[in-house]
Amino acid sequence: MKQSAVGGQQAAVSYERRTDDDPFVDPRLTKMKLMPCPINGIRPIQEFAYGGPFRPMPNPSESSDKEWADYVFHRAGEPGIKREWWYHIASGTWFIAERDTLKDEIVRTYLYSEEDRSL
Amino acid sequence: MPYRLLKFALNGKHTEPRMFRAPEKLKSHYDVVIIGAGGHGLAAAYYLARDHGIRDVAVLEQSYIGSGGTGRNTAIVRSNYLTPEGVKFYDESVRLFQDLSADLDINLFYSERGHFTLAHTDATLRTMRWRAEVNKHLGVESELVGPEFIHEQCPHLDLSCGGHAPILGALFHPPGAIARHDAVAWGYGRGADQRGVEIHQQTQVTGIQVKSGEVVAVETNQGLVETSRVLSAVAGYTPRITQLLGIRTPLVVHPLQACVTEPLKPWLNNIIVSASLHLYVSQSSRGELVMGASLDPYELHSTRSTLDFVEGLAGHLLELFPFLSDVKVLRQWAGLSDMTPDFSPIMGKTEVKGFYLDSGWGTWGFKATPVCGKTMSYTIAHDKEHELIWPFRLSRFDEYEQVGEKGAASVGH
Repeated sequence: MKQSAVGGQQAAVSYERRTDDDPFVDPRLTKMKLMPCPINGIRPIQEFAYGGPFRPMPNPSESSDKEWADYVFHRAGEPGIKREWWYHIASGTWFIAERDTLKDEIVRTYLYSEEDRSL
Repeated sequence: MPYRLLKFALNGKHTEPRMFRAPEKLKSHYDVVIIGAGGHGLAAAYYLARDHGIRDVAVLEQSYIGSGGTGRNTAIVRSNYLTPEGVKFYDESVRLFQDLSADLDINLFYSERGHFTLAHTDATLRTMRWRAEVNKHLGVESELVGPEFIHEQCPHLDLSCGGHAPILGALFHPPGAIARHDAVAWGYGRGADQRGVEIHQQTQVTGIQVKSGEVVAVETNQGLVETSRVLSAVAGYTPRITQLLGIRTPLVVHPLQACVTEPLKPWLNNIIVSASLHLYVSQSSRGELVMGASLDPYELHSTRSTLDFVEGLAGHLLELFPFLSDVKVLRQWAGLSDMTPDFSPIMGKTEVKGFYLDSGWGTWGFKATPVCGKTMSYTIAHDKEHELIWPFRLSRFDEYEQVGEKGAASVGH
């Protein structure tokens, strides 16, 4: 856990798993029983909702029908470490989690910032 | 251990024939390679050999026969869908299922139970009336029934649902059935095997070689196989196969969990589904209550089970059948569902010549096993989509021609 200020408003706590065999990681974190929220810290997974993959939107007025269909329908369905939107229901916090969809483990969580737009 | 069994084990003469041959090594060339020895892959192999005379076929399975969705579903067969495309397709499957035991010479325990989809709200009733009309128009037995009829057919059901979600009516589908799902895969596998198809278990596909837009070979952990036609029938593993070819699909994989209770005396004749309560339940021929719920809420490629699921499901089951409160859950499991945005499958040809997809089987794949075998074998033999599956082609998304089946998903996913 490290402290950082995001957007000059709120002190956010971003979570990053250090290594695969980190003995200090709570095993419930690696089994998706708990989720580290950047604002509220580690909370039970039941308090969160999945918001889908993080995907940049192409410009609708410039993209062809096929490109737009690709954005609307197609997904990277294979397992891997994915960037996703998650929502802490109790506090109304949207944030980004990097999650391994094969092992069901959180790799990182952090608040969205303008730099993420280009990723 | 009984003495007879011990003697039988030790004498080395086992008269019971094996269901399948165990081919030793992959040949260097096959006419057709099918990835996935589940019900769909084996059915396609069976109909390729039986109806189209294509017998030089290898079915490659990374694990064992029927180890994926085939052995993990809740074994319900029905055709009361919402879209005309879907109804026609699944109805052909129900018809094939009805005499499949005789066709495959294996007892599938195919048991017609009558299928109730319960409505707890006016909105659900409206969709059901719509479904019933589409069904009847296409010759499928399906009708909207009131609480009195439900009570007559299933007197154990608490129609008030504990008081907070009273049942207003149901969509009743008399041909709705359950079957022994493993036997479907074994029956098709044996039929294909007897006709010369080779089933290679523990054989994982690691790559697919393409030359100028055409499939030329399949790489496996057991060696390279040349072929010009490949069928991917791997449901929840489809994105891993399409990734090898760079084919974009809308498939997203979510786990779907299910569980069974300890066996009870037969009391539940019907298949009961409630979309509002996220529950479907039937009683197997062994007496266990087989239950499923909705998809897990986020993408995941793992078949782990959760306590959240079984708690939620048990709660909803008790709203319908309060007297089951002391019945124990025997086991729970999960399968991988490759979901599509319109809740219809993705079948047929792709942008790579010779690569065929039988995918997008989400939560509705088992009931389609026979018709998928029929239509995919036709598609492979003629390099042309069968008319029943044309609406389900992958390119429908680029053409904005989805087949919206969400209203008929057995549980509101």
